[in-house]
Amino acid sequence: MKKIIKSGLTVFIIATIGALLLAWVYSFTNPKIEEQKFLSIKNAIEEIFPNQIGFDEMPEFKNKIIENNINIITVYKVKFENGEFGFVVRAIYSGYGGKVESLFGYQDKKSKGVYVLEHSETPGLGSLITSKDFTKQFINKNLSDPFIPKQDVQAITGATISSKTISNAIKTIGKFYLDNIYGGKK
Amino acid sequence: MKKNIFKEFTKGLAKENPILIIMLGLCSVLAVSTDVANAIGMSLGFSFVLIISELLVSIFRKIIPNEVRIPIFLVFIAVPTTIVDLVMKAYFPPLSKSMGVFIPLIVVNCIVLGRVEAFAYKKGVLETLMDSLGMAIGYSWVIILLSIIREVLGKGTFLGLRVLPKAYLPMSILTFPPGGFFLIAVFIAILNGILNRRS
Repeated sequence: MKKIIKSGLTVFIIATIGALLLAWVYSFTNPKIEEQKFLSIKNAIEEIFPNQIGFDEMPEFKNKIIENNINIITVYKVKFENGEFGFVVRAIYSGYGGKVESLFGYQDKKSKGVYVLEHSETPGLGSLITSKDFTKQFINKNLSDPFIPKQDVQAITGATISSKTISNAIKTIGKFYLDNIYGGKK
Repeated sequence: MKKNIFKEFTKGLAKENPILIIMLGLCSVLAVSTDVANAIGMSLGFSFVLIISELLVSIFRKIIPNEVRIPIFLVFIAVPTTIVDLVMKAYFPPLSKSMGVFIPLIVVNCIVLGRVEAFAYKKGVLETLMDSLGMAIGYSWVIILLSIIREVLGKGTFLGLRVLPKAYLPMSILTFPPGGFFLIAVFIAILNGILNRRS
């Protein structure tokens, strides 16, 4: 009995000290981590809309699953100096190698570009969806276009599926944007 | 006595190398050694955790009850690991992002638990310090050398900068786990050859 209490107490004391130490480290690293998270989103939004002067989250579009199993995490309303608005949709869709998390930019009836935050596509092939050479074709592209690789989209050699899924995501989210966000706000 | 302590240090470099001879915790080695930057980050994180946890266990080995030693070891490993994870997330976000889950997974890295259980729990602080330093350096040189070969030949880059001409067709098999396994096998064969010739 005495032995059990002694062992239990030793574990308890050591675990408590460990927890306190971690709480202390967390208290000064957490603000930094939150700041880094915000900065990475801000940089990504700036990548799509370089002339932005601020953005707000739109709580009404949080965590929505739309067609083709695309999960919209959140939507940012981006302000420009001339008083106009653009929209950035942060969403997760299924790529070739797993989930792909991206930001999709839209303004008026056009796609304004795409920025991939996280992906697990094949290195050297599907991973080229992050390259500017591939993504620049989605800047200022009319949402009424078909968005089909080898027709109006230049596919990545050897990564047809990665090219297809991202084009499809831009089109599907674009449709959602036109029906709910663009139509609802103007 | 002095010679013995020196031996505790050098054995981790080759004769009892954690990756090539003990061969524990290979999963994270394969996953992280695709980029030189990741390998350096992993080496630093791993070395910090290994040295701190081995020292803590060695210092407190007399008061750790034998029956509950594993949970206590895990606390001693998990606390430095979490510190590394938080600090990396706060100050080196790109590195933390590219290494993903493999930093928190140091907690269950078999080499750390293995060294703690097999060495630090039984030996004095000075010997433990030497052992952990040797093991950390032994781990680091293998994973960094592995990552240099994998990144340069597999992607044509070094630390993200292109070093081979664009015309070079990358051997992308090297960036996949099977390529990593082949390379580790080659390393093991070379090291065993050298060690056998010596003895």
